[in-house]
Amino acid sequence: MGFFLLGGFISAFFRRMKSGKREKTAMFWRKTDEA
Amino acid sequence: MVKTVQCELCPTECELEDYQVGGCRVRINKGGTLYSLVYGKPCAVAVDPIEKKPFFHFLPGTTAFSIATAGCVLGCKFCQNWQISQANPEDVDFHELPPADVVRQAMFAGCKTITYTYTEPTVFYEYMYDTAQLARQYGVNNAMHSCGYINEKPLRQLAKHLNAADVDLKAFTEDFYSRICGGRLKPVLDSLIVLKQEGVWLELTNLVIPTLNDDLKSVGEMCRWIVKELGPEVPLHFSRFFPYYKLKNLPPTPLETLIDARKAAMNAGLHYVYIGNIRSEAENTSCPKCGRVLVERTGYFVRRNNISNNACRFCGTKIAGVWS
Repeated sequence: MGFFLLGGFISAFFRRMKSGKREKTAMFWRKTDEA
Repeated sequence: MVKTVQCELCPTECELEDYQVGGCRVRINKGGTLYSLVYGKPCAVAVDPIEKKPFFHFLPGTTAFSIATAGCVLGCKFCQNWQISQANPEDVDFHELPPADVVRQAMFAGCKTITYTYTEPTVFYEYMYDTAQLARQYGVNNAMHSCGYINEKPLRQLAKHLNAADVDLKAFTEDFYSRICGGRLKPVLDSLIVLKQEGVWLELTNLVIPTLNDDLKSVGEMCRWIVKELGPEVPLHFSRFFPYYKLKNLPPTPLETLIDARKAAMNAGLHYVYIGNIRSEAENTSCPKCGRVLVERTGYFVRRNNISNNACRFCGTKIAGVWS
């Protein structure tokens, strides 16, 4: 069981590495309330 | 401190509180920064004939590597891809396909073009932009099928890397855009002019929906605007409607309606008017001068091409488009 869990985490880690960050900063927007 | 942001990508310009998602469903404000939720995560990937987009005057007979993510800037009641366009990104299956992999796979599949299509590519702007920039470096063309609902600044920036665009001009009244699509007509017309100014090869598609936008007077007005603002050589595709999504109560468009719309468009001065989503002779490209058939098509497939050196093989008239 532990072996499979570890395998899952390692696989997820490499997938994440490959795809980069989960979210990409958008290009066209502005802050509306700079305090 | 309140962390509100305003998206400036499309004319809706959503103002978003912290952790609020935009109307397109794929852009989120997190802590005062706007993020795309679909970068590198296409939910649809396919190799299609370029004619399917539809592009009839852009590299006919070639294939296009086509990608789309979830989301849309509009909410058209007749959407044919509503399962993905009106879905949240977490609710659809997707591939992990960063820009470099898109370009690599397109080249491997022998595609001359990458198309950003199926849903509205504006929503995955950053993904499209990075992919298009990279594709250009490797000699792969970029084309998008869009509703044109995008602000001028992002469109001009994107256009530098675009070879072709097919824009849905869904109707020619503000009322239709407001009631049926949840948007406005004016920004779409502005986008068409921008694309023309930027030198992007442009084709237009109009889905003809019985009782909603099949009024010949309005079709004529639309076509006269196209001739005046974009020129008579912009191809226009009248597409047959089938009952989908929230308009299942309407019948498919009769062939006669499409033929009448085509006549109205040609009377208005357009040279290349096609009928799509139904088999007819109006799938072929004819020479506006001598009338001979130049590109003979059956559905999405090119059977014969009589265009040589961008001109009619029979009379030498230049035919607008990107032919090789």
